[in-house]
Amino acid sequence: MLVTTRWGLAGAALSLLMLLGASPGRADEKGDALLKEVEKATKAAKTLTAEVSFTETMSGQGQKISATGKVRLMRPNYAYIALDSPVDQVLASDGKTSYTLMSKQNQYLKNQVDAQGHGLGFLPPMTMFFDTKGGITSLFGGDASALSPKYVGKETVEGKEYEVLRVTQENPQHVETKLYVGQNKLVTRIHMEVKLGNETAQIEVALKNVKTDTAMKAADFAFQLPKGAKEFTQPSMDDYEKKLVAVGKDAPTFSLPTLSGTETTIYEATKDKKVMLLNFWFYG
Amino acid sequence: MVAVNGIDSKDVIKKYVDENKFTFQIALAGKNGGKEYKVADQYGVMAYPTNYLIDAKGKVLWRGVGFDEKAIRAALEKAGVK
Repeated sequence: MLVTTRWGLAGAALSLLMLLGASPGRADEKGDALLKEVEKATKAAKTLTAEVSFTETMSGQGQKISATGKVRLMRPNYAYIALDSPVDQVLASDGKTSYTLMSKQNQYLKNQVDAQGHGLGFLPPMTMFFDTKGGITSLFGGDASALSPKYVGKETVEGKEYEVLRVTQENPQHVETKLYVGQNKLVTRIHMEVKLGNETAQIEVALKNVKTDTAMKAADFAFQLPKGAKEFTQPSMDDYEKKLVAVGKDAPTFSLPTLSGTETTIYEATKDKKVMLLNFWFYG
Repeated sequence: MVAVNGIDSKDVIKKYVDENKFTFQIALAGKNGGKEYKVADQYGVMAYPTNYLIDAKGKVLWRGVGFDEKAIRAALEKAGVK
C-alpha cells in the first residue's frame, strides 16, 4: 500500500514544481563549470533514447524496489517513459498533455504540459533533459537558480568513469543528489538521498545505451490510454468517512497484542468506563 | 484509551512511546495484510489519525478522521466526560 501511494505522489509531484526554497551551498568553480558543460551537451541533444533502471531503498524497513524500463524524449516537451514491474508506471507526454499511468490499477493522472517541458520526465536525470537545473529539484521542490553544485571528483560505477557533482537541498526536506556526468557530458546516472521523517530513502536512476541522435517526430509520442483507465482522484474526507463504522452501530470486536506484552480486547478496554477512545495512529 | 498502530515497527513505536512517556495502552495491529491488521479494515481506517469513541456497551458514539482536538473534546463532553 505504501509503495503505491508513494509512486502516486511522485506522479502528482510533477505538477508541484519548485514551490519551495533550496539553500544555496558554497560556490564551487569546478562544479559550476561542469554544470555549464552539461547544459551545453544536453541542449545539443534533440532527442534521447535509453534503457533506465530505478532502485529505491528505505532505511527503516529495508524495503527495496527495483525496476527497469525504457525512455524516449524529444525536445521541447515530448516524453515516453515506461517502468516495468513492480513499479508498473508509464509517463507519456504528447506535447500537450502528460499522463502518468499506474498500469496495475489502470488509473492515471493528467496534467497540462509546460511548453518547455519543465517538470516532465518523472525523475532526474530524465527531467534534466528538458530543464538542466530545475530538473534536479523537480521531484522534491526547491529553487533551481540557487543550486550550487559541488564537484566531488571521479567515480567508477559498473566499469564506467563519471565526474560527480553533488547538490544539497534542505527544504522541504533534506535531499542530497549526486549527478554522474558521463563522457558525453550528459548526466546519465543520479543518486538521491532523501530524509523522510526518521527514515532515509535512497533513490538511484541510471540510463544505459543512451543515444541522442535517433530521429523522432511528434506523432511518435501519440499516447492512448488503455481501455477502462480511470482518472485518479485524491479521496476526499467524505470518502474516508463513508468507510467508517456508523454512529450508533456496534463497534467491531478486537483482541490485540499490546506494546507491554499483554492482550487487550474491546470488552476489557470499555469495562467500567463511560467511554473509550480508540485511536488509530502511526509515527512515520 | 487504546492507541492502535498498524504501520510502524515495534522498535519505532517503543522509542516514540518511551520518549513521550505515554501511559495509555498501545495496541499493535501488525502490518497491512496481516491477521491483526484486520481491525483497521473493520473500522474502515483509510487515513491517520482516525478516532472512535465507544461506549460501555460497545456502541459507536462518535468517530472522526484527522487532527481535530476540539471535535474530540466536544464529543467527550457530550458523552459526559470532562
